[in-house]
Amino acid sequence: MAAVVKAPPTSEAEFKTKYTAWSRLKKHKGALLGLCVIVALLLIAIFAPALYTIDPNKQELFVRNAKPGAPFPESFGPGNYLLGSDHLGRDLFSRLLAGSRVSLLVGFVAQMMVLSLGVPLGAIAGYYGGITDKLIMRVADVMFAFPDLLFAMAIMFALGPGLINLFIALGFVSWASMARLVRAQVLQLKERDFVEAARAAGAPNWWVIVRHILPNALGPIIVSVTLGVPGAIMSEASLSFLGLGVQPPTATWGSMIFEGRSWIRHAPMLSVVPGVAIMITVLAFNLLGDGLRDALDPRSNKKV
Amino acid sequence: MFVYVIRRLLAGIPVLIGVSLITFILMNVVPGDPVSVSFEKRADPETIARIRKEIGLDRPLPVQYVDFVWKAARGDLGKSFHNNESVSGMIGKFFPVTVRLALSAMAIALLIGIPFGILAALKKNTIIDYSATVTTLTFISAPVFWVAILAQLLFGYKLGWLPMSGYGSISHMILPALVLGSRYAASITRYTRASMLDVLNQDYVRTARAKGLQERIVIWKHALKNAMVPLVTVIGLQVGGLMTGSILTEAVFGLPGLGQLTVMGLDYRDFPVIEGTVLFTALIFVVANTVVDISYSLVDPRIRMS
Repeated sequence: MAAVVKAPPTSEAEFKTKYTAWSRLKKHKGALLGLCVIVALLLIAIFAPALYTIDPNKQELFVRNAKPGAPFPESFGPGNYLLGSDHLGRDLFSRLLAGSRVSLLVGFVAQMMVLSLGVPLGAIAGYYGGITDKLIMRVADVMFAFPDLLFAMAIMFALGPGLINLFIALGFVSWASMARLVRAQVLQLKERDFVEAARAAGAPNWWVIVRHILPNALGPIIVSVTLGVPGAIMSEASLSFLGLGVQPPTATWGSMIFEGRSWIRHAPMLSVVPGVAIMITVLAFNLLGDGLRDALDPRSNKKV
Repeated sequence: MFVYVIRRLLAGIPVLIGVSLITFILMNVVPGDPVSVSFEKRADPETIARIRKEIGLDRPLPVQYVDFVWKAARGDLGKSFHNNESVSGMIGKFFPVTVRLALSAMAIALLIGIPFGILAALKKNTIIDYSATVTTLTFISAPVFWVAILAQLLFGYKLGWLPMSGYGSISHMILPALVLGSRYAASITRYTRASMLDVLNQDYVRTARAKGLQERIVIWKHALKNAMVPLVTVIGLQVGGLMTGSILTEAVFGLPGLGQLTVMGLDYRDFPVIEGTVLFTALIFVVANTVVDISYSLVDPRIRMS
């Protein structure tokens, strides 16, 4: 009786569907939900001007704190305040849409800053070691000694309010944890055979880092960025709430909550609604980040 | 052990020097200088020049920095531009409120977070676990100042159970502590759950089960003790979050704490107050982290080796 030797059951296509990160992510319902919400939010933010029922900064002092559904005043033309109006008669619905642009922009650009500072510094520290490593990591230690928001407050105070300064402050506050993460990855990877092989083949150091080491560290970096976006959004909201964010009259969710606070007894919607928006956005990114962590790093099933 | 403690304490010194340098730079890169920015509208150029000289802002920056650090090391953080009070005195007055808020919030967080975390881990993949995950994620994603406003609206205004804001009696602290505590309860629940699950998969738990120990003893005696070790770090990591959280909570509830002092400093553009509170908060943070590291090495002797 001849033993039937079956061909390995996994064709390449089968292997891929079974083991790629994407297929693992697809099984993660929370992450998929988060991803859908993020895509929807991005679309809203991009097309916000088309969705405005009225210019979000247009005021009409005769219809302050109007109830949801109240008709627009004559100066606005036809239409309704879908979610009511604020203390200056501005349309809450349009301002809510406008706020999504600031929040998402700050979230993404701040993470770009974190990437462009943290990845090179962490990679250099980990790869070269020695005095360079010590120097960079000591600076990172100092960054860690400030509570995030307080540090961002001090920077915003020094630089003054404004969108660009927000990017700088938030990027500067969080680059150190990215640098630590990348350094740890590089330290592990640089001992591996394929790095050795690349170096033996005569590849220059920067090439080894960019072409061989960093691509293998991409997983944790992606997870960190995904979880960093909601952090930046939250910081922006907090800074705006404290009056240190973007200048009025630009609508941001944090400053809307701050302004609505004074009218909380008569028009609670004004501060409740932007808070819900922040919560949904942050939640979506947290869900996606958690799912990505599980999908990109199968070894750690820690759901922290 | 002793050597480890000393080494850990010494490691904090360069960090503190770095912190003071960054704080100093931040306060001095402001366009114009602190005095002209603060007094711009209230004083003529001559008075400003006189004040500058009095405070010593006419000296070269490195000299000013050394002077700043030397005085700060002896507890002198200068005087407020706004009311001429000593900044260290103000911090001494406001800090205890923050400590009370942070400690009660942390106590609430641990009381809620640890039991629920254990429960979620033991009932993994059941409805209890899922609802714990959803609740904690929601709390973590909600801005703390917004939750504070909602709590004010519900318990202070609608139900009228507790004062909406202010400071004085214990009832004024309940709402802020609950708001701040609930947020950290969510983090503690998540960490406890993860840590517990980690431990439950360890060999020694399997061994304990294999030798026929009761499940109750396996969990409470073998698993729980070990699961608590990483929590020490988590509690330490939360100190920074608690401080920023209390800045926002104090701002909403009008509690006269360190956060309120910082916000007041920002409103009046009161440089010495901001410089002082930032430096002081960073100092507390560094000390807290050092204490956590040391206590961690006490709980888990393996740490000291590396």
